Amino acid sequence: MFETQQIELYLLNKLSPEEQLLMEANVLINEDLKRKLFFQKQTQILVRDFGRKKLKAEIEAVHIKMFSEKQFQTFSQKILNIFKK
Amino acid sequence: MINEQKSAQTNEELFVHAYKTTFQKVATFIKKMGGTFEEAKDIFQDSLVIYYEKRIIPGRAVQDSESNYITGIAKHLWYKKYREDKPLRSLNILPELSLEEDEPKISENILRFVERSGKKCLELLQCFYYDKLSMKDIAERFGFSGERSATTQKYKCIEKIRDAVKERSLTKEDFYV
Repeated sequence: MFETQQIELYLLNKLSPEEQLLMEANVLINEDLKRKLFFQKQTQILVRDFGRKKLKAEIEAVHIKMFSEKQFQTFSQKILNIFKK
Repeated sequence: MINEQKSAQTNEELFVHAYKTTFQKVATFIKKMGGTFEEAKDIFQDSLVIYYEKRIIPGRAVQDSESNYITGIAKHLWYKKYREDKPLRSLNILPELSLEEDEPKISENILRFVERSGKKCLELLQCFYYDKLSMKDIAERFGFSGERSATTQKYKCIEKIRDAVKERSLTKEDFYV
């Protein structure tokens, strides 16, 4: 748990300069730590991609709502008129 | 700087407001540049994602200046798309603004695999890393007894997902797209 926390703080640039140096030195001599660091970074990227995917779905749902519901008819008409020749 | 105050607004309210205040401006610009409704939609939606990731206070309503900020991002994305080297006026758009290019991306297969095997953990980590919620908010949202318990669970989740990504990427050759 402590190791995971240290890796996280390293990836978020929240370690002190001394702790950061220590982490980098440990990574050089500890293959297991190096692998954990690599895959924890991939995990953060994966979480970001997961978040984006869900966010894009939420935005698309709003788009559909804005262009289909009667309450937004004035708005959607205004937008569609922009693209009419 | 990340302000970890509780969202006063749902994402839906935030995006409805953004559509009302900003989509017309973006659509007018895209049309002027010879683009289509679909292109305006795509550019605007990507701009909203970037705005969401860059915003200082999660859940805050889009103010006038923020509407201009989103419009600026949209223009930036349009010029980037068409490689037109036009300078941006009045906005300090960060050069790294991008959703698809220049960024490491995890294979869709790995994401699908992890979604199946650890969705709850992914959602918890998303709240922390992506939505920038505080551990206090996360504890409330997921029903933990307190911040300490939520933090412990967060690290367990990191380890679980980390192992799943490792397992999947060592057995598949599709680690990166």
